[in-house]
Amino acid sequence: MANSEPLDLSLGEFRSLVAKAFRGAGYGWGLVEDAAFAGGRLAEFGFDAGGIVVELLGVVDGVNPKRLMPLTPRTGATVEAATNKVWESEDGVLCPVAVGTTLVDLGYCRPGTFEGLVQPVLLAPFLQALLTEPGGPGGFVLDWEHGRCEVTSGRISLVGAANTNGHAVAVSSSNVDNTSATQPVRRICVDAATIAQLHGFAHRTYAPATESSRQNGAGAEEPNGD
Amino acid sequence: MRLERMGSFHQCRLSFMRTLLRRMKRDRWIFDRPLFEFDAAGVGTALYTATVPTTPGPDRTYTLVAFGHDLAPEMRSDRVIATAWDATFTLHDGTPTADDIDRLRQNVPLQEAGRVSAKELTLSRANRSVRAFSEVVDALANGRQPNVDLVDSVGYLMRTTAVYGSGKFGAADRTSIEDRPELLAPFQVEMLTVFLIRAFVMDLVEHIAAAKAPDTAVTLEPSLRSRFGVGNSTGLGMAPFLITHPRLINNWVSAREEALARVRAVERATDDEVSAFVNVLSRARATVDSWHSEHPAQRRKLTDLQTDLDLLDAHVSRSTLADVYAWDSLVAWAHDTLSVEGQELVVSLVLEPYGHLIDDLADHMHADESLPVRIDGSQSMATVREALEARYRWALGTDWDDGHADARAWYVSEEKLEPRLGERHVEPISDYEQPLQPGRDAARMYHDLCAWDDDCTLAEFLRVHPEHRHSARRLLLLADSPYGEIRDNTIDAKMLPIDLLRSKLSFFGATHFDPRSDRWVRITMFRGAPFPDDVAVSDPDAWSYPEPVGIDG
Repeated sequence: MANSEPLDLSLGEFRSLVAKAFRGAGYGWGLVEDAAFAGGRLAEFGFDAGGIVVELLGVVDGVNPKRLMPLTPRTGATVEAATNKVWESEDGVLCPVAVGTTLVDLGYCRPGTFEGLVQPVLLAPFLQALLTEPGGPGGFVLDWEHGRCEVTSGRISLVGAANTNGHAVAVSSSNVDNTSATQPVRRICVDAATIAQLHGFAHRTYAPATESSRQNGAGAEEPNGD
Repeated sequence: MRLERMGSFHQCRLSFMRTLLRRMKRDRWIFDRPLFEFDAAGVGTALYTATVPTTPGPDRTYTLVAFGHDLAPEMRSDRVIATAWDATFTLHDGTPTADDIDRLRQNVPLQEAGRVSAKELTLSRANRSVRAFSEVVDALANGRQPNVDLVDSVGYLMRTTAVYGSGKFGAADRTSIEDRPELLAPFQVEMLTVFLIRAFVMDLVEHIAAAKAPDTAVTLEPSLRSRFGVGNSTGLGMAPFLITHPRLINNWVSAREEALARVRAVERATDDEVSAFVNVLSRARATVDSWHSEHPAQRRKLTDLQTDLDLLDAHVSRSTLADVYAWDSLVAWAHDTLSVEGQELVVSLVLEPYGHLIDDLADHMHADESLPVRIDGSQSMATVREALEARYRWALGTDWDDGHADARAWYVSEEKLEPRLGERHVEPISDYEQPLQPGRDAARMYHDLCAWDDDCTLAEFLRVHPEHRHSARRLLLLADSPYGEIRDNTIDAKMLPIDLLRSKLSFFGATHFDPRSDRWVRITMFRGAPFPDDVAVSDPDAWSYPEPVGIDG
């Protein structure tokens, strides 16, 4: 994309691009759907979600996605028991999409620590989804060195640095006042460099064009003689 | 849903074109053409507006912005890889300013290579049917009407090759407009776009004829004019939609099934309802008679359908449609007697007299698919296994290693990001496979899941096997969407993509399906329908099965 101007994307367009980028980085189709949701939700709350996704994929690129999934804990207990202990992955790098989907599948998140969690803000949409559970907390707080993210049902807010550089992130529940909800935005402005990087990952999902593919894969074109 | 049946669907009262036209008439939409500036070659700009009176106001206006181009014949292609077209369009939300029109003129002709904004709802393009367009221009320029046989054999003067909506290329997301009642039913902005394109095409052909011979040119007789629809050339790009939108497809089919159930529950039809059915049956015969295709599979189906109509005529004349539960009996008879194509036509036909019973279902055919379905990870392996066995029995019993069952792979070509279907065991495409084979993927999940203890949870399984996450989500979704899944193998060596295309196009309201290969189909849209100026005084449903008699003159 030669144009250096930021691009005004529809939310659907942005989600689709995020999904393709995650797929291009090797994620399974189900995680891709969740990643698109999380990226879109962050963008709706005004975050540079495209940049966050690019940073994350730059770290995990080349790692077998299965090795990014949260391990059963050091204690050897089940993953469920680990939700109030320490989360980690086989490679030492935790992906917020892998962690977030696991938490949402479980239906709750207990206080604990995520070792090596990259781009923790991307975990926030998943924690937010958990707030709809009956009897759940009013919010969550993610704390890391030089940064903090507060999550309520109507807001995701960041204080300090967004990136942990893979250090530990503590999660705790909160009863944050939820009166100040943020109105989600519907159009996503993404700078050209980020768009190019997302397209770079997405491009890996496209099969190279061949004449055989052109003729047989889509069906040969017949003359427009009518 | 089986592919064979999906590939035999016909339009019906709940089809989206018909829903749109009923609403236009009921809500007294107002149409106008505030701009039409073209040269003799058809190069220029036009605006067509549709205004929806709302109470309380303000009224909402939608504007088709149409650009005509001078396209060299060698550039004319229906493929998505084309880069130029005879005409390009966008549907603007509101009344465009001069700046808007300038902006759109810089982008809309480029289609996928351009950008539209949140103020646009669709992006589309069309090519002329070369022979028909030039013959109609010549006839009108010479002061005569075009040959009726030509009109009926082609059925359109331009065919669209894409109508993009829902946030594509910068356009507004559907979620930003779905709270408007006139856009609640699926694909209403796309159908409105094509409806207005049809009016533009007819105006354009008359304009070019008049420019060619100002002293002798005439306009099309209204009865002949209405016989032109808009053609549409649809390829594989549409096929994945049926698989990737299970909630939406479920709602479409569910509405149709509910409509049929309501009609089958009618204890005794009134005389008027019987007359309406007999009338539409004779009209359906005319529609089938004017349906041409060179594709062997469709020719066989048309031959069977002609036979079905003979049987149906004979049966209806023998039976008494005023008997108790006559529609129920008729549908059961059709199921036992007719081809699948004939069975599906009967389903569409028995719905025709019952707008008062079923038309409300059109408001229940949309679906919110903006968020992924939440996975309940607390489900046990035993529960998930039982659900897989119930929903995917056919897939679990398929030998996926025999070389035929997985012969194909869906992928996206880097060439304009076009969806394609290739031969997995011949071409190097497996690494690029799209998730469009839910049956095979469910079988793979089942295989891995059987190694787990019954008491383990789905959350734990998916943590270890994230590659099955999409299958697990789909399985849970189907619990509430029983019609959401195609119960057939979408990568089988003998699978016909045109079956997928036809099912979707039938819900649009398309007619005259004419496959050009096993993965391309041409159709007509709004053929016989009223034009904008006639909506207020026309029956919004009668056009779907045109009168079987010739035109005046």
